[in-house]
Amino acid sequence: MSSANPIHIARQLAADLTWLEQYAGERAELHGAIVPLRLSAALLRNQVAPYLEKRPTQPLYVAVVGGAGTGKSTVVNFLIGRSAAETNPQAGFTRHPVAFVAVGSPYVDQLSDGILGPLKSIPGPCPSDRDEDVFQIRQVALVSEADTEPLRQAVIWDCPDMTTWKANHYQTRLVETIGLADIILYVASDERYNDAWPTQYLQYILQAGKPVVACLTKMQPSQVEPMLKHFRESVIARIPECAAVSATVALPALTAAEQADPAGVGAPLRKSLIEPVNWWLKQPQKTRHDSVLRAARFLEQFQQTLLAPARHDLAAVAMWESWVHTGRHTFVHRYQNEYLTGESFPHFNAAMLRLMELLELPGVGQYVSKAMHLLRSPYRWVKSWFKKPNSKDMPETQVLQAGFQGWLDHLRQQVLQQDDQHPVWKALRSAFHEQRDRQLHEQFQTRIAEFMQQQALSTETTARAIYQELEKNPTALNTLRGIKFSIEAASLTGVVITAGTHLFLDALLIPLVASLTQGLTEAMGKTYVDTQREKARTSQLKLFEQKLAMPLSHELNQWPGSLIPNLPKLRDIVDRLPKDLAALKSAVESTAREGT
Amino acid sequence: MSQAPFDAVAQHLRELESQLRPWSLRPHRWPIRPEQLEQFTKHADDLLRQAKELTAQRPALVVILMGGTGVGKSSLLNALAQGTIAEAAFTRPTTREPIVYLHEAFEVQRLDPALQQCRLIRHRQPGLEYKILVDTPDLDSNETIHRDRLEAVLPTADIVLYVGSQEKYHDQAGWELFLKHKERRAFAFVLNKWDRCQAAHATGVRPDEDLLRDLKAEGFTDPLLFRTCAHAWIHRDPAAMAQLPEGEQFPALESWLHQGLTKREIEAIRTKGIGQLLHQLHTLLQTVQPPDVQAAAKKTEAVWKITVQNEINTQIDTLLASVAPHQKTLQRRFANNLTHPFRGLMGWYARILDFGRHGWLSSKLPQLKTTTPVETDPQPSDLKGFARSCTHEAYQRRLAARTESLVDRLVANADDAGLPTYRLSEDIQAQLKSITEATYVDALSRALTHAEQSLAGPTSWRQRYARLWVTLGYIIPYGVLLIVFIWQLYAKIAGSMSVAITDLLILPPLAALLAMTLLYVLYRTTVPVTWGKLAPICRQQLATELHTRFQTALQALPQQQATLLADERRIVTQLLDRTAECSLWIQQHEELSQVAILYAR
Repeated sequence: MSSANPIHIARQLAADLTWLEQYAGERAELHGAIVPLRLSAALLRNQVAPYLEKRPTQPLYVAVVGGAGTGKSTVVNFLIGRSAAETNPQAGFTRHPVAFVAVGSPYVDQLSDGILGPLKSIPGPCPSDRDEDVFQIRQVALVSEADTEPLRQAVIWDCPDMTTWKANHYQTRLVETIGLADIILYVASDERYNDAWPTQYLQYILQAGKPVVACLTKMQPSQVEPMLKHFRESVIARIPECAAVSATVALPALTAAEQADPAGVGAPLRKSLIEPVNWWLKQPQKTRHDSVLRAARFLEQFQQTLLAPARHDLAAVAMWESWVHTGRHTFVHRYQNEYLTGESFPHFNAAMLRLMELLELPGVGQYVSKAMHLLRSPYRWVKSWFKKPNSKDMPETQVLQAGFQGWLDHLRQQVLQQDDQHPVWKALRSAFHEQRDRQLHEQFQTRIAEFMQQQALSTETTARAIYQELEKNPTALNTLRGIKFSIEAASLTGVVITAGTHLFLDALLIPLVASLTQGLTEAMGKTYVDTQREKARTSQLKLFEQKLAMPLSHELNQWPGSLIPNLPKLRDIVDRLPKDLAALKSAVESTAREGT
Repeated sequence: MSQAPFDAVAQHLRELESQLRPWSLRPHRWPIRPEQLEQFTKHADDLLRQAKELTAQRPALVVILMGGTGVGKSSLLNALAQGTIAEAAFTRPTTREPIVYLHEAFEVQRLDPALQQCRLIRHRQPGLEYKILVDTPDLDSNETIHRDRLEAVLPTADIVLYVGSQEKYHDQAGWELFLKHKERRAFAFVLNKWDRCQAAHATGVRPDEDLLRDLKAEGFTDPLLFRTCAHAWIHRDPAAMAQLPEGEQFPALESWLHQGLTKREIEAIRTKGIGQLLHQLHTLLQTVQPPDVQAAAKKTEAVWKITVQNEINTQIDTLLASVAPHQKTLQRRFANNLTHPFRGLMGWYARILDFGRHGWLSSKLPQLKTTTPVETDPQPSDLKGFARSCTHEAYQRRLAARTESLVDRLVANADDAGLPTYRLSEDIQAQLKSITEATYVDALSRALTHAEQSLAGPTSWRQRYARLWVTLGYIIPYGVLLIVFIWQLYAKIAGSMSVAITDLLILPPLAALLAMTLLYVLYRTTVPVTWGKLAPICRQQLATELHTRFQTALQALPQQQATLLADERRIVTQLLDRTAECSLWIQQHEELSQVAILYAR
């Protein structure tokens, strides 16, 4: 379990999902995600968070939900036992949730602002077609019988519809109420029971783990049984989570008398309606626990669906990042090819000279050394004769500039090939067009300067280390000097002995042998320096990746985020949501265990 | 209206279609979204359909009933058919396939293909001879295929009869479809189950008033709305008829269909329908018309020129840098080329030296690592091979990557200049494919040959100068050999020096060797074909050559892009003109007075 406060997590998640919902609302192609997002936010805000706060007493909420004109208000009237909700032939008359609570119920005070998210409570009855983000509370005298007692402890919500086109801007109020509800009474008429959008709602409700009592209305009495059967088999059975539909009941076409007096003339119908609702109301603790637990599970299970709108834009960013990644490889590759492999590091040549100087004899020996130097003249002539001239290579900064420019150009070319209607590509396109990539170039310049400084330092250090080791170690140095001198002396003596006093041969052979020994020593020294040089090349490549390639690709990855303000938040939500939901689920589970 | 003008406009519509369809199917130079292309295809279908109907002897009118499940579309059709159609069950949704209700005298062939495949029910009602009523599946049930079937026949409608009930008259599912089609087709409205719409003590707006209010907001100034109780009219049962609520208008609907829609009105509706179609097409065409980019193309050309010039300069630097380490080889080659090789002793000496250096040098030349087959090893005498091995390194290390990223640079340039880059990078890539390693090899070897010709060609002063050296090289070694030998011999005979017999044999050749070495060194250092002189000539030659290559590859592209877009623009303009022409004709012949109420403004 996370150390953070689970109530805080729930509220934060609700805020995140609401933000995501608004984000999806601004984009036509994401409109399908609005209802699930709102429902999830409402579950967190209206049910899970209050549950975790362990409020001492809470009523159970029954929400009456259905398409326009299906008779939701009639169903409410039957639950109450008298005509309390306006029934109206105008489709979509009810525009905000209406709470019906028994007169004298201890819960009236709890029906205040905050229980339905952003919806404000309005005091006293008002017409239910008031089209604002509000809810109203009506205290009604419940027509009471022995079996309506549990209903007295509950709050009944009459909800707006979801089918009319005007519902687009008020169905969030319906969803808030669904999030709050512990039991859903799903109302469908003979005309509507197989409609796609209400069925979709039923599925959302069932997925969210709400117990559902379904009520079909308006059919002829003779059609009741076949219609219920058809509804169960062809509508409910198609929803994978249909097990939570605890009952399907019918409220057939009503006579005027039944309509006017539900508790009297309509009593048998009323009884069949109340019974399945009561089954849940009679065990309030368990109903609540189970409902919240299922809600937490639903949220965890459906997180991918909830995150889908966030991923929609992030997918484009991921594509951008993959181009940045390949671009980085090309950048490194080009640097390596165009600069590093050809670079001989002047420091190392200097180090080589210094190393050779060190091996010469010091003190009095320097006269010997000078003599040797003279003798080796032919060697130097030959060497300079064969020496390859250094070609003037492209300077490092130029290679780097070209590489970076190529990287950006490639990204830009990729962006230009994408759909120009997509907001991410649109933003990047215009950013390039308005030359807002200049800031990237500026950052690049500072990075280059830093990198050059660092690498100059590091190659110099490596190069200097070649002879500094020897300088610090006089024993080794003197040994090497001794060996070198002995070889030279020995070979020269050998020559003199072999050639005897022959002037010509001596004059010819002595410089030759002196040159040979020097060549040998230099070759050995060169091998050593070259291995060091290779090492320096590798370490410079590493430095290049660390100081230049990686930070630059990081900056390029961040760039879309700096152009499109929503991206960082989207990414944050995608990262955080799964962890938070898992933490929340375990918090709810442990609270439920404590409760039972 | 006489028949002739109809034939003329039908011809116009066909021509428009024959131009629109092939254009919409071909690849485009301007991004057109798939859904827009689909729209074009649909419009083309509609144009053909309308043209066909216009040329028919007597115009027929297709009235399609549209609405949610259970609102009573089938009942309505059945009531209009006076109960002759078998009634469906009460479970939802009932109607699965469109049902076409048409007069027995009406030839099936005249029906639109989409309707021919539907279930046909024949009747003998005289008032409906040229009116085809179509019942459709619902648009809002869980059977989503029903909606597809409805949308398949909906384009054939001249009038859509939008049927709603008390529950569904306001539903989003139907309303969306209505909004989508209201610009295109005539609409009349039925509020069925009228009996359910009048509840006592109702506080809200009565459904018919509610609906009328919304229709007015959607641009119908005086929408045609029939309030009906269709089920009561199926069997025309007197008992049920007696209970009909006040304001029931089924008879009005029936008489409108039978008598109201006269031939003239049908023609007017049809004409108006075509007008709406043309208007939509016009709007759609305007959204896909590419802008005029001639100026941007000019600008791009100029910018590209600079980019390419800079790129070529850098590439030449790279190429020359890859040759520079081998400059001595080149210099020697040019020195050798100045004349015939040395003769006599000097000839042998030079050959041995050359052999040594050549062997050493070949190992130092850049090795060919790729699989590209190379016919000959890089010989200093083989300029092309030499150019190949130098270029290979430069190409692998730099030029390949640079040319590749040049594509992106050019695209970026074009974008900066305002030239649409749609599919431009493919073109650039295709063009630059012709510039390969071989291009650089050729360019470099030609540049080297050129430099050679101008510096050390047969007519150059160096040739004459070199000939002198060769003559000297022939004489001097023998001379030195002879002189030293004679001197030694003289010394031995005269006894002025103690000369061993070995000295007599070794010293003269040694002296000759020394002389030859001296000669050789002097020759090499004084024949003045230096890299410093060679490089600028090479550079200039390379610049000319590469510039030509790149310019030929790229020069035409901006203009080509502009031309292709202009072409696209021209076709769209033509289509727009044609559409406008047809619209104008339609407007002149429209007789709207009777049918305006069926349309949104």
